[in-house]
Amino acid sequence: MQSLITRRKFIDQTIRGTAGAIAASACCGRFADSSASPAALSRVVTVRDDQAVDKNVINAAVAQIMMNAGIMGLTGIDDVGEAWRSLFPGITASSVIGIKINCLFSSMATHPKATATVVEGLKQMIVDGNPFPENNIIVWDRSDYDLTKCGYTINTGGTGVRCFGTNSSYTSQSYSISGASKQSISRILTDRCAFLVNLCVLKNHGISGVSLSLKNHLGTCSDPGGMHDNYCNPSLASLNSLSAIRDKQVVAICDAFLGTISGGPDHSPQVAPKSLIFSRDPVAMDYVGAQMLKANGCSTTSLTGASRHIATAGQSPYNLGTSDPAQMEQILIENPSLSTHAPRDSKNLLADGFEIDPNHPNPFNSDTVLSYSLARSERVRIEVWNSHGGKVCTLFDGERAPGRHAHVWNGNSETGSPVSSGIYLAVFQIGSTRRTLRMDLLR
Amino acid sequence: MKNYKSLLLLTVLLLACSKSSVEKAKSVSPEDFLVKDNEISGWSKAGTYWTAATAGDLSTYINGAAVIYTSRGFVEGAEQEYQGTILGGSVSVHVQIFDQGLPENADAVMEEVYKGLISPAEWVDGPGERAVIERLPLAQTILFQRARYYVKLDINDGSEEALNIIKAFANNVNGKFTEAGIE
Repeated sequence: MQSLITRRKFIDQTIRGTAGAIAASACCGRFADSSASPAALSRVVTVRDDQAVDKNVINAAVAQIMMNAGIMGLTGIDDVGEAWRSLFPGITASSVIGIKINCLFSSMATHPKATATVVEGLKQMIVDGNPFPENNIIVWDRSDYDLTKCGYTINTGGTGVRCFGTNSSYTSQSYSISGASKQSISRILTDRCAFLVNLCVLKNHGISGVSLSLKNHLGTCSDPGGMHDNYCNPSLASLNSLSAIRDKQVVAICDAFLGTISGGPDHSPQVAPKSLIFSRDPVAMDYVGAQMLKANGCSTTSLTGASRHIATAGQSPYNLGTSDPAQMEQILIENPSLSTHAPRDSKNLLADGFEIDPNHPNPFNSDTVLSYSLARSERVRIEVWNSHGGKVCTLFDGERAPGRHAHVWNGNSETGSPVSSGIYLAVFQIGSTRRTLRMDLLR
Repeated sequence: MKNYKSLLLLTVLLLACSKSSVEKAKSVSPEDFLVKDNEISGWSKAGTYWTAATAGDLSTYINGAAVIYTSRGFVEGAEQEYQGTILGGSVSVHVQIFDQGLPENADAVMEEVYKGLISPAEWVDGPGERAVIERLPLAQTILFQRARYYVKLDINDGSEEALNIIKAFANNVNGKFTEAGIE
C-alpha cells in the first residue's frame, strides 16, 4: 500500500516546517536518533496544525497528516507503516488490534475522522509480507448505541474495519478495584484484541477533573457508576493497572482537535486546540492533556485537586507512567500540513514560476489537499475533471499572490453532490501554463 | 349521624382530588416539555434522543455521569438533539430535562453543575427560578431550574445568533412548564 507520506522526505520537511519545539530533555535531533529508546524518558508528542479545524469541522486530510507526523515523532521511525508496526511487538497477520474510542456523549466524542486516521495508519503496516488486514481492526466502545449516535457504523462482518460495542458482554470474572465497586471487563478487549490503541478525547470532568486516556476505560468496565467516589481516585489508577488493560495498551492518543474546558463531560466542544497528543505512557499523555486544558482556561486540572488520579496512576503501587514533566521528553510539531507542502526545490520554483505538489492523501475517500507555490503573482484556475472529460467543479479562479497556497477538494461536484469512486484530474491553469494531477477517489 | 355522613363524603372527595393530582403529576414527564419540530423556526429533532425512568436507564445513556442525578433524587430524564443552521453552518442544540422529584434536589443538581463552570453569568430575566448562561468560544450553555426540574441546554456555536437560539429553546421549555401548571 502506498504511503501517504514518504520516508525521509516527511522528516526533512517536518523539521524544516516546524515552527518550534518544546523539550524537557535534549532533543535537538529528535528525529535523527531513531534508535534511541523512547522508554528512557516518557516521550509525549503534541502535533498542532492551524488548518486542522474550521468552524468545529475537522479537515480530514490535515488530520491524517497530523496523525502520521505524530506516530513518526513518537517512534522516531520515518515511515508511517513501520512506525505503527513498531508499537506492536510480535504482531502477526492474525493479530487483532482494538481502538478504544470515547462515544459516551455525541456532543463531544472521539471524532470519526480522527479514528479514520488511526485506521489508515494501521493499514499501512506490512505484516507477514502483506498490508495489515483491516478486518483485524476493531473500533469499539461501550455499546452499539453509543457508537451509532456518534456517527460510527456498526460492522461485525468479515470485511472492512469492524466496529461494535461491548453491549454488556463482560468477563464473568470481576476484579477488585481500589476505591470502587468490583468491575468486569469488556470481552472485546479480553477475548478478541491482542493490542489496544487508546483513542480518547480532550474533556474536563466535574468529578475527575479531566477525562482523558485513563478515564476512557470507564467505557471498558461494567459498572462505571461505581468508579466515581473521591474524584475517581484511586479507582482510575487501579482499573488501568489491570493486566487486561495495562498489558495490551500500546499507545494513548488524544483527539484534541476540539475540547471542553467547563462543565464537562457532557458539553459541546468549547475550544479548538487543533491538536493530537501521543504517548506510550498514559499518565504522561494525560498530564500533557491536562496542561492543554489548563492553557485553554480549564480550572479542574490540578494534580493535587480534582485531577489527582493522574498523579496517583504514576505512583506506587500502580506505576503506570509518570506525571513528572522532568521525566518526559515533550515534542511539539507545528503545522505539519504546511511543511509537507513546502516546495522541495527552489530552483524549479524560480525556473517555472510555480511548483505544484502531489495532492495528498492520494488515494483518498473524503478530502484531498491540492497545494502549490508561486514565485510571483499569477492568475490561477483549478478545476476537477472526471476521466470521461467532464468538468466536475472549479476549486479556485482568481489572482494569487507569491507564496504557498492550498485548496481542499472534498469529492463533491459543483452542486455539492458526492461524486463516485474513480480517477479524477486536477487541472491547474497558472498564467499561460497548464498542468494536471491524477487523483484517485475511493469511496 | 348526619355529621358523620358529611365527614365521610368530604373524605371521599379529598381522596378523589388527591388521586387526581397524583395522576396528573405522573402523567407529565420531562419528554413532554421538549421543544417540538420547528417550534423554533428552522430547528428540528435530529441525532441523540433518550428518555430514562430509572437509574439503570440513565446509566445506559450517560454511563457514570448519571451519578450526579441519581444521587439527588432522580425520577425521570430526557434528552433531545436538534439541528438547524446559523449563518449557513450546521449547528446542534442539546436539551436535557431532569425531574429530580423535589425542587431542592433539582437546585442541588444545578448547583453541582454550576460549580464546574468556569465563567457562568446569571441570566437575570431568564426562565425558571434561577438561570445561568456560560458563553465560551465555540459553545454556549444555559442551565435553569424550575420546581423539581433541572434543564440544561447546549449549543455548539459561540455567536450572538446562537445565543438567541438557545435562549429561545430555554424559553420554549419554560413555557411548557407554565402550560402544565408546574410552579
